[in-house]
Amino acid sequence: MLSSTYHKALFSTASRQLAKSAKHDVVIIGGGPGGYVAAIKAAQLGFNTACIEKRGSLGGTCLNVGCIPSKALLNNSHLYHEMKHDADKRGIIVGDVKMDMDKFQGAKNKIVKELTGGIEMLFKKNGVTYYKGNGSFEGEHQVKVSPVENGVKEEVLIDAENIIIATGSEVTPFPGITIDEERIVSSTGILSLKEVPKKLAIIGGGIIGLEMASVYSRLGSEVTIIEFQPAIGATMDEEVAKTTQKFLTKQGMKFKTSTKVLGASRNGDKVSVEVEGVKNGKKETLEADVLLVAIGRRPYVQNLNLEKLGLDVDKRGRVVIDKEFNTKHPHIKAIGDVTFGPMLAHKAEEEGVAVVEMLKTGHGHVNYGNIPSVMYSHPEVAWVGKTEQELKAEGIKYKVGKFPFMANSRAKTNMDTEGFVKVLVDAESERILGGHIVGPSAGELIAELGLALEYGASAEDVARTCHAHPTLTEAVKEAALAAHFKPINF
Amino acid sequence: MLQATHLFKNLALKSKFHTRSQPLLKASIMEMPAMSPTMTEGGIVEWKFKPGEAFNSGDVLLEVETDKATIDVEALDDGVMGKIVIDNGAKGIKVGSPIAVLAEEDDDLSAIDFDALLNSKKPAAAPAAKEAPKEQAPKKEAKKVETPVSTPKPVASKKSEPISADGIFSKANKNQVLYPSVASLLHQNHISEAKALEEIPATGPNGRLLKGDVLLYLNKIDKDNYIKLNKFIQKNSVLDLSNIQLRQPAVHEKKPEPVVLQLEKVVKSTSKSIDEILKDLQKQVHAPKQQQPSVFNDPIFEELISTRYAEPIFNYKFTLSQVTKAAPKTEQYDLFDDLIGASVTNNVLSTPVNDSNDLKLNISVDLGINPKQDVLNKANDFISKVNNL
Repeated sequence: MLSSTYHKALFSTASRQLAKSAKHDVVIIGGGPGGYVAAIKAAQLGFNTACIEKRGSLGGTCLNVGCIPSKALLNNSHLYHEMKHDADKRGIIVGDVKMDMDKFQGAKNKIVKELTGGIEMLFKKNGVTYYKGNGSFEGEHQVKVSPVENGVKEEVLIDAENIIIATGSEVTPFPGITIDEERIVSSTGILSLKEVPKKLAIIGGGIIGLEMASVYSRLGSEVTIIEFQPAIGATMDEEVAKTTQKFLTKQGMKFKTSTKVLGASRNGDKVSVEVEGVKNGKKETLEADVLLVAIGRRPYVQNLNLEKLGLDVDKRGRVVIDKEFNTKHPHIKAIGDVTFGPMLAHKAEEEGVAVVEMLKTGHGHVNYGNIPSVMYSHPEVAWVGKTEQELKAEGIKYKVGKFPFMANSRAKTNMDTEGFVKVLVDAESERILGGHIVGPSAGELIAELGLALEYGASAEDVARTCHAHPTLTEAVKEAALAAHFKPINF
Repeated sequence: MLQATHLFKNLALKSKFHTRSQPLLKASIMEMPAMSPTMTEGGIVEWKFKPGEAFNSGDVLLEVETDKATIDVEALDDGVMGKIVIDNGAKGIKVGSPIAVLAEEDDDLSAIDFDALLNSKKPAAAPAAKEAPKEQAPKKEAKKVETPVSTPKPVASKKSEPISADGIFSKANKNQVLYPSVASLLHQNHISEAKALEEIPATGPNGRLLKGDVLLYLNKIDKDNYIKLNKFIQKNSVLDLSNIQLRQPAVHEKKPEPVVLQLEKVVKSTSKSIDEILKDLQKQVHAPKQQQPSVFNDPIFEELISTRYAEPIFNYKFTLSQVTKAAPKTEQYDLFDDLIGASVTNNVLSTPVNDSNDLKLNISVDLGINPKQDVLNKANDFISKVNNL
């Protein structure tokens, strides 16, 4: 008791400019998937490591307001939908199936809390010093941690030998539309709606938009997706995107592709969205209870004070790096969403490991040609490597091997047979160049094709590998067989 | 007797002989095939075709004898038997030694210089008695070794560094487990694992042999396409950091900052209030340029059509304070002196400092972000008028 009051007195008399100071070998600004992985790896490789995060919990966008909470909602809404609509045909009588939104959201929050807490534990286990505060550059080797709520109480000035910028990204706002996170929401607000909106409008037919469309469509919302491009699914293979759109339309979602959003405004509990056809110029106004703006994300460097060191950013705000993640100061590196490449958690993780290995050994490697993407709709969509349109554009001659889940025994027994596996191989050497799956558990199945891609395997290699029966993985094997020669079961 | 089927592919020497003589373009040397992964030498039991006879793909070309079995060797492509180098009944022929010359169907056999073809080949196979080279080496390497023709395996035997300047092919990793496709392709073509790892340039990660590498070695796929494919894969394995368009930091910093003109000046209190003086000055800078006096120029009309008096295009703020005698006034002028030049400075310095009627005027004009040139000119005009008070 006495000692604590003594400390308090000491702190209060210490003037503000006499900040605490510390020294670390590696300081990572940002505790998301890139930053926290880098921090743990650095500590494991023997560096005196610190990680600065201002959110109040680790895990970044992904764990707090991104991949993880959205997957909780997706899985539980899928179960709800199955029970309500499919149980009967499977011979299961479930009676009255209802939603409890509070518990539904509560379950999600619990998972998020457990996972973010888990990282804090990992930090302790590996000896990473964790500063809860805002990190900013004070000098080439100095990083200042400023207090945030429930974080550090006073400024800390850190002397850092190496600094890794891993500050991630934030939601790109739509010019002219104000997000209030109540009726007009971003990908963050949509995760915590208190009730199921009758009508949900979504700007952006990318992965985030379509996943949230899936959640609320299953819970009973009438969902309209507005996409400027003629197709949904962003960088998906065109054929897969088209098929996916068909499946989602069948589930009741409405698509307005080639449609431009002119503006949106909130009137009480309603939102009206003004749109215009890109091709025909036809204007119309859509009414919705909730509008989700999901047009993408942009690098986040606010309060980082990059200007102080004159670190370059490109026109889209990405921190400029070279092939070894170096900014113009080699001891300051940048990884993840804040710099170039796809904005994906697993890409940032790979870079987190590579950048630290680079510090340790001078060599670290990420294969950017093999970064999978997954959309957790139902059926799921997953892909890795090149799409047909990319191969065409590059003039690479290719062969296609396809296998429908309709002909896969496990999918049949699961009564879940929508979709197919598509394997793209070089026409002559049969080296696998791309894998595209729309179907049950596509996100899990894609790992096999990723492994094949990494090792430069040919379709024949996958086809000659024994796959357990009956499993969904056999569909991957058969698609490879189809690319190499002929499938057995189709 | 064990009968196995061997699909034999013409092993063309296209790249090497391409520039020498046309008739040789399609002729190729057939080497003693490896009928099993462990086979190092074997015997020729019987040739099934005589020189000049045409064969189709799938025809049995010859019977080969190993220590374990006699095996049929089939032709994979159509062709013509050009010359038999090793006759029936020969034994102990090393795998890879030339045993025949095969030609394409439309080749003129009489025009083929078999000796030249074989001479370029023989020394290659004979001394080392190991494996004959298959001309899979990238062209640059092949040229380099053309003078010392006697080197048996120019590509693989020397160094373990990448054998291509392209950075695509590397020496096969000897410790690898073969991929299923590679193992089966080698088996089908009677190439031993050891030979494959020794001779076939690899494009897979860490020197792994890929199916395409073996197909290329067997001349079954187009080399240019294969290199193009590998370049494409290589290009995609790294972040595209070309053509980065920087956000201009200088512009970036300046643009969002509003332009504010400021002036600090000591003025004498007069009968007219500072407020009125400033308003007057603001009006003055907004006034239209004086026209030449003319009967057509009606000042009242001019004022009517001008809206500028009512709506100044910039606003100013000012504060007044007493000058304290101790204030080191000269210092206060320094900043502005630099901007407007010495004449004004002298003028200001001559102002009596200890006059108790002196007031310090602080005036600022906030023009917002990116003011129009007109606004900027007028505001500057205004400030200089204030300064000349």
